[in-house]
Amino acid sequence: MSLFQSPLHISLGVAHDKFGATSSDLELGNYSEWEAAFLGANLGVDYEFLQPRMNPSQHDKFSFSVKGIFGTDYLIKGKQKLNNQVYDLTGVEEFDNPVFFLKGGATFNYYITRSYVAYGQYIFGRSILFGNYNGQEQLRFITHNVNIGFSVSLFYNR
Amino acid sequence: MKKLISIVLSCYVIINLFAQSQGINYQAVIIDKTPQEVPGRDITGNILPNHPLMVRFSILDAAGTIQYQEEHTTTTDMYGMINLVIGWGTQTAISPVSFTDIDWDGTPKALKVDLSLSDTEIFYTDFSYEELTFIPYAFHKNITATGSLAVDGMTSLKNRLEVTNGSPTFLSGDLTVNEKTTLHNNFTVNAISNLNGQVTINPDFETGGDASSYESYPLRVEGGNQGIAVMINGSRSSNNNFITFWDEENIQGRIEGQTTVELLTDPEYIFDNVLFANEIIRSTVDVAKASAAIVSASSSSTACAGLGACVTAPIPSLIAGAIAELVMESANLALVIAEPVLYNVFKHTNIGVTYQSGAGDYAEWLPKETATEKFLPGDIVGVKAGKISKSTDNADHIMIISRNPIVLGNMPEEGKEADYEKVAFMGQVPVKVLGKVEPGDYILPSGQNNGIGIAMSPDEIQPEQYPMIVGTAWSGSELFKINYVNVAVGLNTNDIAKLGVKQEQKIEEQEKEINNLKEQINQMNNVLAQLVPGYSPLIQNNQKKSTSSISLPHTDPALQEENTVIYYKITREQILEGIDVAEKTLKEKGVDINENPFFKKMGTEPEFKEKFINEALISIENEIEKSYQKDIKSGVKAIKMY
Repeated sequence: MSLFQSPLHISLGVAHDKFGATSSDLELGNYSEWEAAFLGANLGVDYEFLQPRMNPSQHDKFSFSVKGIFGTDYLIKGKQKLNNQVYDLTGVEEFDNPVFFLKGGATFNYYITRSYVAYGQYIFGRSILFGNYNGQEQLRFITHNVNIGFSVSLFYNR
Repeated sequence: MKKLISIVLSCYVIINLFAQSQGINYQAVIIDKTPQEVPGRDITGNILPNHPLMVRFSILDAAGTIQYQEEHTTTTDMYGMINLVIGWGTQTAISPVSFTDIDWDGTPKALKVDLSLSDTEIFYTDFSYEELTFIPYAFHKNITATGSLAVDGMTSLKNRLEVTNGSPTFLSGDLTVNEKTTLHNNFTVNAISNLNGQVTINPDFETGGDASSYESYPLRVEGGNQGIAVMINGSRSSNNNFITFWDEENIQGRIEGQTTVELLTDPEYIFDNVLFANEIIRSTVDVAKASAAIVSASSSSTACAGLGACVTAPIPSLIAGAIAELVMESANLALVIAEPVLYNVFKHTNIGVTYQSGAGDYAEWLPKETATEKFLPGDIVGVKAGKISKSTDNADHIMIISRNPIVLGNMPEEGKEADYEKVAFMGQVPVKVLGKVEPGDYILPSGQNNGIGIAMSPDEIQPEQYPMIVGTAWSGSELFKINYVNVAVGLNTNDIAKLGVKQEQKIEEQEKEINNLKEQINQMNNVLAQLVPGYSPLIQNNQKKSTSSISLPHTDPALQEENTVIYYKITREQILEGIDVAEKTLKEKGVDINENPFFKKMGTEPEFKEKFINEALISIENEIEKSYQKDIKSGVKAIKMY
């Protein structure tokens, strides 16, 4: 069984993520808004269930896979609006360090051919805190990704 | 938990003055120094809403010394704000004075604010330190207040106070002004005014003015039933002038106090009493004469030499008349005695003030007989029916035009002064006199009807000239020309008294001469009776016809002797008869004897009447005794018939 026929897949990717958030405090009358763009790298592992055979006569065109991703994001641009005051998030404590993510999800694949696969995917991700923070606040990212894509297997040998 | 608070102070300090209390409004927003931590930049400058806290205010002087300190316990509102009034808190133990006693003396002062935010303990941290620069020091800054300004406590204005725009100023309490006060408009006081210092009234209108105009007088007292009351310190004396009159040269008159001692040394008072004394002496002499007249009337002398002595009884009507004369003289003496008593009672009762002036006479305005006739001060004028002219012929009174009277009465109507002239009634007045004048001379009109007088010595004056006496010269003149001589007028009673005494002396001398003549005639009759037969009966018949004498039986040989004076006793009934005659006589003269103190007393007090009768009997008896003794000594035979 070739590597590509294994149900276990490893994926490596680069991502550009943009996050935005707002908050308000009625008692103190504060309003905050964040907008941040991250450049990230993801290393994922997929395990595919019901992978169709490589025989073209086979008509099993659907498979299901689960995915685990470890990724890290680096802030490349961000701003924070506090009560109509805008601040640059570059170099600010919580945004000065890379953000690590653990993500997991499931993918539904449709094999058009052995080389062309259309898929639908949902991935849930959560940031992981590393290091010490002076403040009491915590910066946490929770991501929900729903992807619909089309993949081409470049190395499939007919 | 001790919460670290950083505070951004927003402080508004306003002096707020209330009707009940005072203080400084203090408003601040408490900002939480701890930022709100959010991802990214933390949120700073957050308010501290609904948080209990304690605030301590300290007012410090320039040296940092606490002049006042107080504490407030409060809670921030939902906006983190506190609203407090400095002055309404709880004064701390170390505060030296209360808020109202802070001495805002213009020196720099600062407000230090401390906060304690702990929930469990009082732990103050510095909040703010601000120098008080404007409102608390309003007294040396400009204040623009468009509304009312109410100050409950003492207000010290160390500079000029102006109330402009014609705004009235009302003071409901006492006003004390330590320095000069100048008012440039009307000054009205609706209550009692006490002016404890000297008051000078300088009218803003021109000096002079119409003397008869009410508006010309800078000081006017009106609106009451009384005028001006002057009270001096201590008891009155001549050293205390109630009112003194000045002109630009000197004091011209004064109303001064007078004590009893000063009254007794007052020349006018002494003069008046001398006059009264003279009157009393003269009246006493008159009484004595009346007593002597009774002796004369009650005695008889024989003048029937030659044919034996003829004794004639005294005529009863003459005795009654003489006694009546005694009664009337006694009544007059009582009046004369009563008058100075009344005068002295009046003077001592009304002792108080005297009016002194450089002017010397009391005068009145008298109308001119001819309005165009001109008079000068010192002119001698004649008064006829109350009108004056320089003609003194047949004048009712001879008077003098006054130059500067101390009192001027009978003021004419306004505008008619030209028809009147000031005429001296009493006092010293300068008079135009021609020729040499000796002090004490009488001044009489010259007779030329030119207003000029002449002087006449008292030794030279004739009785018919008495009515023409103007007065007595109190100064003299050596030059034979017209001079002003100081003449005392209105004081001639004493002079007339002197003249009366002189006349009395002359009458007594004439009486002596008459008695001598009578004695010589009697001697001649005696000689003729011895030499001429029938002469004595003829004389006796003539005496009977003339005197209606009553012949008495010649029981006493002594009565048969020639030239014998017989004194008869005056009885009580004769005195009573005399009193009746006196009363009738006075009534016939129109005198109301009920108003006469002597007769009033005689009618109402029997003991007085009895005493008078007894004294009259004793007095008459004494007179008879004196006359009897006198006759004995002079060799005249006298017999008392009682």
